[in-house]
Amino acid sequence: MKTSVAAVAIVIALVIGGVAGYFGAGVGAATTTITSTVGQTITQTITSITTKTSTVTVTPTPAGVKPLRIGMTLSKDGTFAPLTAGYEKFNAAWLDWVNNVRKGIYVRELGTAVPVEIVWYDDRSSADLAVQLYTKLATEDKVDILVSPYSADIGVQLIPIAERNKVPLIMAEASTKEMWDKGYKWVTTSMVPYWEENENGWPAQYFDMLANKKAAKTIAFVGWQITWAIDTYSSGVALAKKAGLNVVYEKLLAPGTTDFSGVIRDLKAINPDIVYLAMFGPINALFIKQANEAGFKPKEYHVVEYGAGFVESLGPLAEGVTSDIFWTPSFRYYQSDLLNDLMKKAGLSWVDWQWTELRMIIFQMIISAVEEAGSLDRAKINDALHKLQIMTVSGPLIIQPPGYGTIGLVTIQIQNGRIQTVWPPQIANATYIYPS
Amino acid sequence: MKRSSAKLLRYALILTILILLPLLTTEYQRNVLTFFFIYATLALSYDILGGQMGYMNLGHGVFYGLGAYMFAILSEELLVLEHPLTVAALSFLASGFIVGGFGWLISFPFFRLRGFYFAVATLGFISLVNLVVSSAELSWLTGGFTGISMPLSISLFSNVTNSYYLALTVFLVSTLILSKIINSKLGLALTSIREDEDAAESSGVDTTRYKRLAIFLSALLAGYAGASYMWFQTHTNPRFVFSLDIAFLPITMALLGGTGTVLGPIVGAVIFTIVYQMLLTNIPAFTKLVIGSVLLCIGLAAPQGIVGVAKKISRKRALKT
Amino acid sequence: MVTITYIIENIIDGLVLGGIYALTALGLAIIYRVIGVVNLAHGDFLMLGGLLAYYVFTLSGGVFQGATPLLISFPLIFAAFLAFGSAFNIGLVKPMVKRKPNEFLIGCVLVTIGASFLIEDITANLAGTLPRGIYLGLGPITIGEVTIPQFRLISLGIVCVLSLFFHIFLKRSFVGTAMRAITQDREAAVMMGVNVDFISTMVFGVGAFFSAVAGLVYLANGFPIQPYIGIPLTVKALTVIVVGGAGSILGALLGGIIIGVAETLTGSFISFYWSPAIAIILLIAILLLKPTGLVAE
Repeated sequence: MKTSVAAVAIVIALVIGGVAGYFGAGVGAATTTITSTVGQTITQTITSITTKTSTVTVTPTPAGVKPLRIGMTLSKDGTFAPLTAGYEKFNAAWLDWVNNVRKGIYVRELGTAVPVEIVWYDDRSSADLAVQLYTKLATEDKVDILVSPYSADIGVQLIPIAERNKVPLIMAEASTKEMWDKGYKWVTTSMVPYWEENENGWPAQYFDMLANKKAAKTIAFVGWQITWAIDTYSSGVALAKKAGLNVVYEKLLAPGTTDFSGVIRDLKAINPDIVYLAMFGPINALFIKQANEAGFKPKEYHVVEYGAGFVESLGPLAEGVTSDIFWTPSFRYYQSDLLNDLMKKAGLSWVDWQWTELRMIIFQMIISAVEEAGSLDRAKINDALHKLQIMTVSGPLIIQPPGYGTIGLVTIQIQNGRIQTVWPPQIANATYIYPS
Repeated sequence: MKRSSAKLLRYALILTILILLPLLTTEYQRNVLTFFFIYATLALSYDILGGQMGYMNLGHGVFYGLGAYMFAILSEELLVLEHPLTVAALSFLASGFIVGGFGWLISFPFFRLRGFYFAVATLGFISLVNLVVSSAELSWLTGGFTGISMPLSISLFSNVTNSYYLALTVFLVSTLILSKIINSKLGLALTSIREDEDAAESSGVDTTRYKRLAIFLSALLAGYAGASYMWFQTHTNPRFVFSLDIAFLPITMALLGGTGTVLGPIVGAVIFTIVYQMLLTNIPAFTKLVIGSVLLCIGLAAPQGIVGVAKKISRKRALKT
Repeated sequence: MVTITYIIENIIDGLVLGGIYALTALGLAIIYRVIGVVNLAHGDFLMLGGLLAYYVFTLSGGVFQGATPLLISFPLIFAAFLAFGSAFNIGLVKPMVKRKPNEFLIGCVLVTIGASFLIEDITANLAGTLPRGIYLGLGPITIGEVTIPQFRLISLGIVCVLSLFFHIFLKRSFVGTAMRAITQDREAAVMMGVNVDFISTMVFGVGAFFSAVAGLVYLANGFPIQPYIGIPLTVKALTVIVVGGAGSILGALLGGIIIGVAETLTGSFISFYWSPAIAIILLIAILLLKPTGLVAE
């Protein structure tokens, strides 16, 4: 009896899966009334940063126009879910805008604007699944452009798929040195090579500020020995020294460490002015809490990521914490208002989903590249991407020969429970407070 | 006579289909199938220890990861000698045996433990290996936390189709070995160990020898699964192959499909690759729910897994007629 | 600078950390000891307990101060998880008890892993995947030259009280004696008139409750709660109870403390990178010397 129940249950489950798949949809819809595309002029000290198309009167889309297909995976399960699950809504909001408000993207070769579709799957934070899904996107779903998932580790595994199938792949939040020093031809990203120990470094603006203010003297570094975290850590150590700070403590911990009692005791004895935390947002928050409970409070904490719920879960402890980010609402480069609008529509607070601007930049890159290429041909789009010079929400983006870009980070500080931009001065909307 | 020749015909047919599939399928399907063969090998090799011998080796993933790493490391070291493909072939063959030997070695400490304790100890072992491989101290050999890649001159040759055939070969070899084990003296010994190790010992079975042989084979095949994975992906890092997810994967597949059989782990692998993909690409929100429910139902109804359920149903039907 | 104070501080750090580990393992130990079920969904029970505590804490945030909301969630958690655990047992475990030990273990593994998948997916779908953390704002306690994080000390206290309480409960109370009877010889217990099913269900409920309390303490110590923390926590709990001796409740306490101290000392004196490794090395070493853990069954 029991075994029959089980058998029936399995069959039912699989049938449900199949039926749901048959009727279910995973692809954003696209409407196709087109009026015109608009040229953008930007007032900055950049040469020729515009989308090359200008005002064009376009006839309504002929029936059966092939849409521009963007393929990606998001993690709705597993380690990366807290960081990317919200992008589903952001994608939907952007699609709604690009199709219904902007009326698509103009493709010169076709003489008309085309709608945009996003084909996406859930990779459950698994590299094996991501590989299979991106193969599907590149081959069966015939996407024109691929966007990477959050993780750089997984991103690296996907590059061979892009190279083999000749599909342009844009790295989203994922970037690591291994992606750019092997002569790959189909990969780009908007971000600077932030592992470098110069003005491209992750905390470059932060240490520029410290060098300018000449307030703090000593700094301690604590980080996880894992991709990305360690890039922010090493570039930080080098830049701190260049800024004239005295690095008094450096400790790299095993990824996954959540108990910091030993490190905190060490720091209590050393008493640095600044403690630089190179771990994931919630873990940085955890460190600050543990330190406070153990009776240690430096003059300032600098975290490389603050992440969701940072301000809420820390309450008063979050005051004065500095961090680095690619965009804040005080940016006035290009389409910041649109970004704010889209995030509101998607129900995402920019405080909780702090890398959404990178997704926005990618969409801006895609629009410009397609219009520049004038075609939906993958090779032409890839070419255009590699030659891209545009203005984004975070400032000018010029893709460099290896494929990475020029979007860097600025310094923010939490003041009165709100995130304020404090450096560089051109875009700051508040003054840096030290000690906090 | 007729029954066995019919069986042989059936196998020949399946084999032919598997060999011809790359011609009839899309790259995506070949991709998924390659993962299926690799996972199936993982499940089959696990079951030698888990199903046949009754030792739940939750650290089985260690053999898998080590196979991948060994293949890459050896290829790098031997590269100066020969033509890249010769190097690849040699390293591939060697890596499986090295992992097999490693399995044999760690059996000395680990086989002192039984049942629950063996399971927990091996589970801990996988995390330990993760830490060791990722460490800065060993990064000169393993590449540390950034992972390890196949040398470029070799990885140029890797594509989905030849990865498919490589994984298929390893899978077929594993299936063959497991079925040979079941019907052999080794299999009998392992079963007796599983049922009651002390009784087997006292009735004169050389349990130690058979146990070590079993873990050698189990590690060998898992090592080849890992090496195939490395050929296919050309790059991996410790968090992928020495993770807790990989730790629980073989046991879940084997138990779900039907532990102790040859078909069982294969069915389990089908669910975790092919079925999983279908669910994921169609009803992503409910994938884990469906898989979880299936696990629950099977656990409640039939510890013999899906294969066991199928057998029961066919038996019931046979009784009814 | 290695002074006596430094060493003492480290040991104390280890003790209180161990308290958290021990509490994490307590629920698992209870269920394993009495009913023999390896509950691989244990970490998910913990996560759910922490999540419930989080909601109580944030929803009552304005009204109550400090740790009071947590005290309120205590009885809530008690009721909820006693019920949940009992239901879990009745629905999922009881059907399997009549099996051979081998098949029972297989069944447990499948059912609890399946349950883990379900719990995680449902929680992620309903509550979202953003990490949730709180901060109690309790300062350190200073004893002489040594400072100790306050809530960690409280956690250590909680786990000692709970394990002692359960230990005495097992030894002295009627229900406890019945539980011990079941562990020793199920058949005999049945023949003696013990309502095995009822007791087992209650035990599961209590075990689930203890796991949820661990989740509460986990949250209160500042750790973030996410749907997917279940499996690593379960693995940690398994390590703890095996080191201490899976046959005993006090073993969970001992195991937790030993691992906590070992990790802290390794971190401070050898390297922070290797401190997670020591737990596993200890585990394997102890099992090799004493295959049933430190505390005899």
